[in-house]
Amino acid sequence: MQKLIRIDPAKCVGCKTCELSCSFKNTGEFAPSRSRIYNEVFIEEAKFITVTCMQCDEPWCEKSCPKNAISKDMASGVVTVDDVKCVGCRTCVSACPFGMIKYVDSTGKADKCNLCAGDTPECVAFCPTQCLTLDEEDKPLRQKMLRFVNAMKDGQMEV
Amino acid sequence: MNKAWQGKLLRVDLAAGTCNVEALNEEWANNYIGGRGLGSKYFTEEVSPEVEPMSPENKLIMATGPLTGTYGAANGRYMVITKSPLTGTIACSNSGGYFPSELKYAGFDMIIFEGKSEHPVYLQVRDGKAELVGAVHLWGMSSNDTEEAILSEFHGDAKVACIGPAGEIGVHFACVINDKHRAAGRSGVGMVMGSKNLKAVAVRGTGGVQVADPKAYREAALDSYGVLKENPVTGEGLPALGTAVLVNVMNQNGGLPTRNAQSGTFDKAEDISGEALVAGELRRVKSCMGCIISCGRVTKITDPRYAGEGEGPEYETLWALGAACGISDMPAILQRIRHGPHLPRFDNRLCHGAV
Repeated sequence: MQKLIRIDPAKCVGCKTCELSCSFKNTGEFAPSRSRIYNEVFIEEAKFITVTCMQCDEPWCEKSCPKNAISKDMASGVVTVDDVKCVGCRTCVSACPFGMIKYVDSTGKADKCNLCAGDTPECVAFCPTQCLTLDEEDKPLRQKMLRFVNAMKDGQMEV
Repeated sequence: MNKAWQGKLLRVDLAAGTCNVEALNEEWANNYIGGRGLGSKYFTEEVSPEVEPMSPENKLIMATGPLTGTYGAANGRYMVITKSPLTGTIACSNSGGYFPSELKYAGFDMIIFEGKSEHPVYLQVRDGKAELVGAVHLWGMSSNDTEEAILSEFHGDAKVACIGPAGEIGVHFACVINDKHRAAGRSGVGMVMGSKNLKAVAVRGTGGVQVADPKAYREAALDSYGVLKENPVTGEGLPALGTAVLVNVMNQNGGLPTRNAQSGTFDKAEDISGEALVAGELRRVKSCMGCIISCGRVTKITDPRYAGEGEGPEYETLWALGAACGISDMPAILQRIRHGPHLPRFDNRLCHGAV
């Protein structure tokens, strides 16, 4: 299975360190507006939601690119923009249903998460609560399922 | 100049209604450490010691430091520097949240407010530009409602620092509230802001903060995380129990101000402790921008007498509105810090003095 950034929203504290570390590594500046991962804070609802590119198996951004600048690497599974081929037409930006690829004014290119190209993703390395992990297995999903299972178990009577 | 400074300050003349961008004084920025150091230097150079806190000649400075907007140990803070109406001397009240970093991303290290506006106004800052706009429609609103209104009329991603009714009507311990639940609480800086007819500052910034040596900075930040995580207070106490961790600690040491400080121990301290909060009202722990300590508490009161939700309490809330008043009813204490149309934002610690 493919290694992906796995997100456990229950562990997030809304510190936006992921946005800071991502932008610092990839742009040289602490600029959340240019981060490739997004941490949104909803205080009254007590919810913190973190989202980033899911490296789709059949990426809409890839399909839509008229210059074939976007490709999915078969070995790593990472969907990457080739800056040499990208002409900045923003078709991919329209195509991605999740808003996870964007156009950057200063470079004139499309920009998205590439899982830090083989290094440990910087957001994972800096996340203070291990809300973010890089894993083949979707452990947060299994934990969520197990919470449900345990609730069912506790409600089960012996017959 | 240190690369992490943006090198610009915003000077807002409230009487004239003008906003001017100035270069930061490089010599001062190098010689006076951080937002507090530099802001205090500007203040003492520009404001005479004889100026009355409530006079238009008093200035109000919102200052960030070079590290604000970066990751590392508790960096996302700003200072509100002015002459305090409480003490008559220089005040330096600070707060975290997301507003301070946003000010850096908008390209400014500092805002200096001068004079007094004739009518209520608020400041809109957007990527290096700023303008004063009317705030008559916001005057009288709670800090929460003010922020909501500004987000809908200015920019949904803006970060807001504002005053509620306490600052407007001149309560001596009024706060400047940012991001709804973070407070520059000490010294009554909200009262000075109100005296200038300045309701709020709203900032939207999409720029970035650079550092001189990114590789070394990254290592230093990771080191600082190590220090914070190994320390029992910042590594265990604050993340687990928030600043409320201090209730039991202070009580055990005889330093919990109880029944108007007649005693240093409260027999019902357990009921208003960080531990009680975790067992009862706590929903989530929360951090400020770039901080890994996560001492913020998002709480919900299910008790039908006081049902509500939001952020807090801090240790100050619990001793000032709890132990010091002889109250051990946690929902009742929390209800006091909840937002509502008629609940002004006070410094909890000083509010107790008035109670």
